[in-house]
Amino acid sequence: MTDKAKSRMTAYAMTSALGTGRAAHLAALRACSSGLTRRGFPDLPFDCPVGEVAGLDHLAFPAHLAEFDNRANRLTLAALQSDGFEARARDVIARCGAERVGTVVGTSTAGVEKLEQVYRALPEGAAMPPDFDMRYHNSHHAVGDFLSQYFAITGPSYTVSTACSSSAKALIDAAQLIEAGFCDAVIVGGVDSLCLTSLNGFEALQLVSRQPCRPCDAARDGLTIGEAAALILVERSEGAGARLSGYGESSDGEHMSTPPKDGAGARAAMLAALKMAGLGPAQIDYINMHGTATPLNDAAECAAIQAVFGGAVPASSLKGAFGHTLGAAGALEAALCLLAMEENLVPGTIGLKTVDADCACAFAGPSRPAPLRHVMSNAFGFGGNNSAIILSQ
Amino acid sequence: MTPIILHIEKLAFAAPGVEGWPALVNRLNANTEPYAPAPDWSPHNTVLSPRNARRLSTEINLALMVAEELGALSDEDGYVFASSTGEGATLKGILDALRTEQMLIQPIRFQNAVHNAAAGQWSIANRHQGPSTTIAAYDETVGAGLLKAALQVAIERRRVGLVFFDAPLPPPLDAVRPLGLPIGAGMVLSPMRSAQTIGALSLTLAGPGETMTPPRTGVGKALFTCGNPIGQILPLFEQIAIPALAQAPISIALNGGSTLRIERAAP
Repeated sequence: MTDKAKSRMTAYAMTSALGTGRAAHLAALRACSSGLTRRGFPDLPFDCPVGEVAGLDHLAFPAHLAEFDNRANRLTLAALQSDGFEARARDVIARCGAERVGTVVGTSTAGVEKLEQVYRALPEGAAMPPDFDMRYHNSHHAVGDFLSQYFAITGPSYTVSTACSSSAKALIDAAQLIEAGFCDAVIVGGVDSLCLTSLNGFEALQLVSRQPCRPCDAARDGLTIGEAAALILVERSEGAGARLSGYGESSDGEHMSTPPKDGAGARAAMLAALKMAGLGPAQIDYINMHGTATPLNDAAECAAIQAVFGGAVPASSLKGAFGHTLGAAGALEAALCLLAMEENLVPGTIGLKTVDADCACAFAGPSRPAPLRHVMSNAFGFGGNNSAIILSQ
Repeated sequence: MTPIILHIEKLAFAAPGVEGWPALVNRLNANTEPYAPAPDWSPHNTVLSPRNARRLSTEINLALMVAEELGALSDEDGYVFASSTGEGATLKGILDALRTEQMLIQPIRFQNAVHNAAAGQWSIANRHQGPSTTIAAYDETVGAGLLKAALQVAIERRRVGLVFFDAPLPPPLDAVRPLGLPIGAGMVLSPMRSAQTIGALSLTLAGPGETMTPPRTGVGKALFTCGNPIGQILPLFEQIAIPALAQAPISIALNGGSTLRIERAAP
């Protein structure tokens, strides 16, 4: 697909615990600095760092879309109003026509944070407030629907929800929608907000670290949950610019929340992506790991990377900067790979001090300059759902 | 755009009192009695152990009932699971836990709360290690599922197992998202004609302003209008199941406002 990819990624924007926009993220990638804080989350019954986006409550939410007002859509709004993304998207919509532009969003919880608030406030046995509409909040498609209406576009719109691989897969959908002729441009989103469901759920699995997460570190003891929105504009083009040159998807078929020790599913996804791109392992310049900082996940992913790349390619996890942003992780980290490619920067693993013997593939940093032509980004989710994508320029 | 040709190899269906594709074919062709769903019906499959079937949700059991009827596919083949609301009963269990001070969520509940829980359980039960995705598009989930499966068939040139499922939410959530009846439906779609081919579809995109093709039979209408968005598969399934029906293009809505137009094609 390297030479026949029909689409290019022409704009991106993001908000995370590092801040909103390209400059904040580039500065942190250069310095290997973290935005994780100990601010916690309202009513959370335990104390842990989180990757929170500050200032969302102060955003002016568009009045005509007020029914969509929830934390996930506020994250989306913050991202799309940064770095000129909205203007660029509107130019493309004007050029292609509203019918030819679609949206694909990857999310795991969409607006469930709003449902949590409403449900927890209900008196025992009470009915839901009749004005609460699942469509705008709990529906998995609440963010995709918001994006379509915000931009007044009528092209195909749907949501990929495969837990933490969701928005990496959304990029695959965008490329396919354009290649098959259903769209001329697609706005891809990866969005997930902090919520009590995710925080308490990962706590139940004993996977939440009490320290800012340390991917691939010998002393790593779990993940830090973060929130983010990332948007990537994908346009029909065979010209210059970054493209999705390959992708691979696989299932572990073993366990809902734990990968096999040898990372067999991750390995299969990476090999499939290389095959589609027509690239050998040595042609990949940087691997953006899923790297959640749980003891088992990082070791399994590194085993898979070792099997495919033999330790020859620098690999790092960025989750020490903004936490595991769950369904947003794939698009956020793909956008950061585009940023790294533009800046010719190999980012180090943020939060990593002592590389674990089981994670020898991890590049600790400091971040260093190097030309990046082909970059792989991994995203794995519950259900044993694996994806690897290759971005090329 | 060039139409995408999908070769149908297998069909599946599940709803209260209509268990399996052959049962749906019979009901649609007979079209004599009004559809009266059995109120205590629950989906079942032999994929999950009895213990797992009890521990896991109605939604997962429904999806696996459909996937089982489609038959196990190979690791070269992919799966598309499509559900508007996914794990509603599990969501309710978690929301109830969040009303308590300690907010203790059962681990099994959390890891099966994800929208792709059914897809994950299916891949585990069958040791399927190929590609799998799970999508949602609110009331237009059937259109989105067909679209995503078509993309995978046409571009990746692989066989795809497409599984639709949605089941009513427990109270009090059901009042703000009434889904009526549990409905599951499935198709195995292939890029190529084979010995298993039982029909073919041609799929294109139509712009906004098209109206959805309505169902023609009593059973079709009952399922189409019960509130469950998966009922939108009925007009297409009627045309496949009832040989006497006039073969007209079928329009299925996509979220965003455009429409999928599906015509029967020569296999």
